[in-house]
Amino acid sequence: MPESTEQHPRELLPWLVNGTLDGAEHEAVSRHVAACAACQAEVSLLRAMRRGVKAVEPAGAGELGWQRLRRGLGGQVRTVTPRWVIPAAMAASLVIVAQAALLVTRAPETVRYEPLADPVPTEVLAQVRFTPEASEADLRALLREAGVRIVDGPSAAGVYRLAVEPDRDPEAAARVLRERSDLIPHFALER
Amino acid sequence: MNGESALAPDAEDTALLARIATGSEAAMGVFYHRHEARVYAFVMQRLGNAADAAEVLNEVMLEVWRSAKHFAGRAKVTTWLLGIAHNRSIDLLRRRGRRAADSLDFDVVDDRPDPGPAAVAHAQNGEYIRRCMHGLPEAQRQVVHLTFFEDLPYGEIAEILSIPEGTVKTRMFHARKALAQCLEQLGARP
Repeated sequence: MPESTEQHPRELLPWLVNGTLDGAEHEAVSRHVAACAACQAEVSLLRAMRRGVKAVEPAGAGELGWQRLRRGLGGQVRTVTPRWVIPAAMAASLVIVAQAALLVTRAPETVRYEPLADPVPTEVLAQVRFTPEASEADLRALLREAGVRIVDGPSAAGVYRLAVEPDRDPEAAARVLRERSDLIPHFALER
Repeated sequence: MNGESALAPDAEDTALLARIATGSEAAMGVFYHRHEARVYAFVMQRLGNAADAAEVLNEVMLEVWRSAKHFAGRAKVTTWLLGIAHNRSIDLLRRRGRRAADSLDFDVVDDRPDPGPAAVAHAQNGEYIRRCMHGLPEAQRQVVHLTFFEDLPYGEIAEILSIPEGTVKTRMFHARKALAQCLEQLGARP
């Protein structure tokens, strides 16, 4: 890009900062910056931006993402079934059938399950992933503080959908959740 | 060495693709774990939510699995891979009825004031950067990501996004200006 470097090379400074300008371009832009106070300030800003961008980028989908992909490859790892497994599996099946028969011949017990909470609120707020180190108690406290509850998930990538309680402010809830990046490293508002 | 290859990263990737082309699931696993964070981070810039990013990541890797035999080596493997990710992101946005927004690429007019020291200081604040990046148009956010997270040359960025090199520079120019203004404003708030 000789015409650019002969004029003002400001538009090339991001690539000076990331170290990818080629030899001639790098030399020309560096020479200009050495004599240009405004460019030096710009380079400082771009370096700081680069550090900031590298610091906040999300991680990937991890092992769960691989397991999901692997199912889609259509080439599941083929293993040879040992001969003893077949009669053992048949025996296990018989045990299961016998237990099921016992269960259905017993007098039915009335078991009533009460809902733990009110019906699920409808306003889905965000999609999140929790850090694997988070304890159930930590998450429960955070969700209560934010006034949200889990309404879907986890997906194969470990993503949960959170809905805000009807009487809570969605913006305040989002703020509370975002502040706990130690527990929620990935947070995305639903659009 | 822990059994690691002494090949350069791109040569390692090319070798992996050759094995993937023969149906090696093990090679696909290695390839996936080498690149999933990169693809995920890139598509997050465009899509803005984790579930969609995970969906596109899966589609991209499936395409790698199916298309490895067609990789001709004309571009670096990462350029090829991120190009697929870019196209799959656009496909998903279209499926969702969202326009695959492009930046308005104005001609560059150099009327910016010099960045203040506050912008420099605030640029290192991860939360500020995250908020300001979120406020950029998608197309500009992608260029910033590829420039500063992937550390790619502008020519490769142009190839990945299928746009002219001049457009890459223009988008970066406007993004940098918007980021600096946003960082100054955030820092000025009590």
